[in-house]
Amino acid sequence: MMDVIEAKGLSKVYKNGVKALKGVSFSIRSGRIFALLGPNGAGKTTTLKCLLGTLKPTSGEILTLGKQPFPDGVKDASFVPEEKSLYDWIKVPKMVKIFGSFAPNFSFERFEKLAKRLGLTMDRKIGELSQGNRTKLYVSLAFAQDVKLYVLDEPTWGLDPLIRKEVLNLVNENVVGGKTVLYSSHILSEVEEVCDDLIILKEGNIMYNGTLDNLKEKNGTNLSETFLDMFRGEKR
Amino acid sequence: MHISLDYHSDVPVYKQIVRTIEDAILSSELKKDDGLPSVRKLAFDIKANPNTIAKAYFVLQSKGYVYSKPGIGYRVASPSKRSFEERLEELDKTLERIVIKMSRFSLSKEEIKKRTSEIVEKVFDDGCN
Amino acid sequence: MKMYKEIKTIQSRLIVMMIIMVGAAIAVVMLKNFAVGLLNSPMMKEYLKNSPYKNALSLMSKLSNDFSYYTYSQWFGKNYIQLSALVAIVFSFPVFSKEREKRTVYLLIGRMNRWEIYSSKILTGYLSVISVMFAGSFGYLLTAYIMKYSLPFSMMFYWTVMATIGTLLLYQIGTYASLIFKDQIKPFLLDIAIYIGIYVSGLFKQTRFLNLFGYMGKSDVLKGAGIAIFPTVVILSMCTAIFIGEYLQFKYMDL
Repeated sequence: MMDVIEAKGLSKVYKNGVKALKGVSFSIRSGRIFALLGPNGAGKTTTLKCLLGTLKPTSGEILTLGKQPFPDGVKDASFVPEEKSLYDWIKVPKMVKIFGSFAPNFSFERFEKLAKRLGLTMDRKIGELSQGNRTKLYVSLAFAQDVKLYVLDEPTWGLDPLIRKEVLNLVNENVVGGKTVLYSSHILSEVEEVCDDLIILKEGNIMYNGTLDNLKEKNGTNLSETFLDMFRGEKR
Repeated sequence: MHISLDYHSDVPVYKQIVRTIEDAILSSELKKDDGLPSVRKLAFDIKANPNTIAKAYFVLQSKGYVYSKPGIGYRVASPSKRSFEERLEELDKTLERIVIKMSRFSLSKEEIKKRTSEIVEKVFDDGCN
Repeated sequence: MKMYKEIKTIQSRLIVMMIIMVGAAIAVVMLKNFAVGLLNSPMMKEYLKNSPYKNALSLMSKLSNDFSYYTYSQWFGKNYIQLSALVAIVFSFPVFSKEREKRTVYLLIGRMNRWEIYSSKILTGYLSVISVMFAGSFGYLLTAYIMKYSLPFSMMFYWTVMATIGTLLLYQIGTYASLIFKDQIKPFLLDIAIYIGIYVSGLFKQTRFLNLFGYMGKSDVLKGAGIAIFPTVVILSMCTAIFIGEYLQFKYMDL
């Protein structure tokens, strides 16, 4: 199986001196659902941004779909960032049209199916949408692109349990179709439902890197328990 | 065959699938040469990660419960006597744990025997009805 | 076409600036009648005769008799330039800062490469500046013709070209300010500070060469001069230099 992402000794120090990543290495195989876990400030978003070429790594190497992602990004990847920010003064259908004008391999039909499935409210300005609807819109836009890699940062933010499940189904279905999904979330139970492989980050270091099955077999506990064990003692 | 999954269990999901299919085969709910759904189809049906299902099928195949033929897909094999024994031993162990628990409630050996045989009677009677 | 997104986001500002520009142009031409009427009133003549400003009267009569002079002093040398500064600021200050402040930049990055993002933004701005500037001057010319004033086309054309080139430089500087700040207020304030700087530099002999506004509303055109070649080349080179430097900074920036 080909590696979709390969990171070697990746580290990132921000201009303000914050060391967000301290030399992490991992690879993501094609056709897998890969989760990126860790508490706030562990370096999840920094990792995603390095993989997508929005941040320049301080040191280390990354190949995303066989190409260095910085600075030009990866056209064969679709990103749903943590903040689902879109142009507030624009109505949803116009936003879709605008997105379709620059997003590679975007299909309006695919978008319509997804929007319908997730129950997106269409006839509003983006600024008037609830958090849940913004997430639905962003996720629908991202999955309406036919690309090899989907990078999702908190893709169920603000969604009710039914739609949440629908998003997870969407992730599984895309993997059936041969896509790779990189999924970052702080909702462990959700990640536990879909992921094959995962890394757990803590203060810019990797605490676990392997399959979910191995983690469960090795520790004899479920994901939440392992996670809590790993971080217990620091939270009081 | 109904596959119910507990994603938040400490038992990996692929193992839960393996167990369900194993038991269906051992109990002859699934018979030799019965077809199993494809990985894709099962993934869609039970809304699970296709990689997990592929892994479960792989394990089932290496244990000799199923075989695959190119162009046909997965079929139920006749499991060896040993796998049957293995599964029974596992169940024995489960039973053993329960008996140990009962013995801790200071029940005598005779009392435990009586209770268990009552359960056996009840199950078989219900089965006959 | 990648520019569609930029056109849609600038659209409403473009329409507003067009209306302001063309409206102001029409108003300035219209006011000529009013001003002349006022000057020809006996009361005004009497007042000016007794005023301490001796040359005020000749200036006023020049204003009422020579339409080209009126055009320069009221439009191409004044309001047009002031509005052009406003045009540059309005189109430039949110270009990058708003996308970064509102975090909408993640919608673009990866889906377009950095050159596509940068060039679509800057070129849309250029086209918008050019169209508003030309709307302002053609709006003025058209109104003048309708009102039967005579204004040499070449004069108006030279002023328009120079003012537009100057505005493009202001716009380019504005986009740079928009790139280096993460919020929208700071580039806006910096732009205003730069304009004040340019204006003040025109007041002193030593720094007069920096006076971009002087170039944009050149008075020699009235005396038959054409487009000033040397400053035009310098300004266009500066524009190009900032365009390239700004791109390189944007290209290797953490977003």
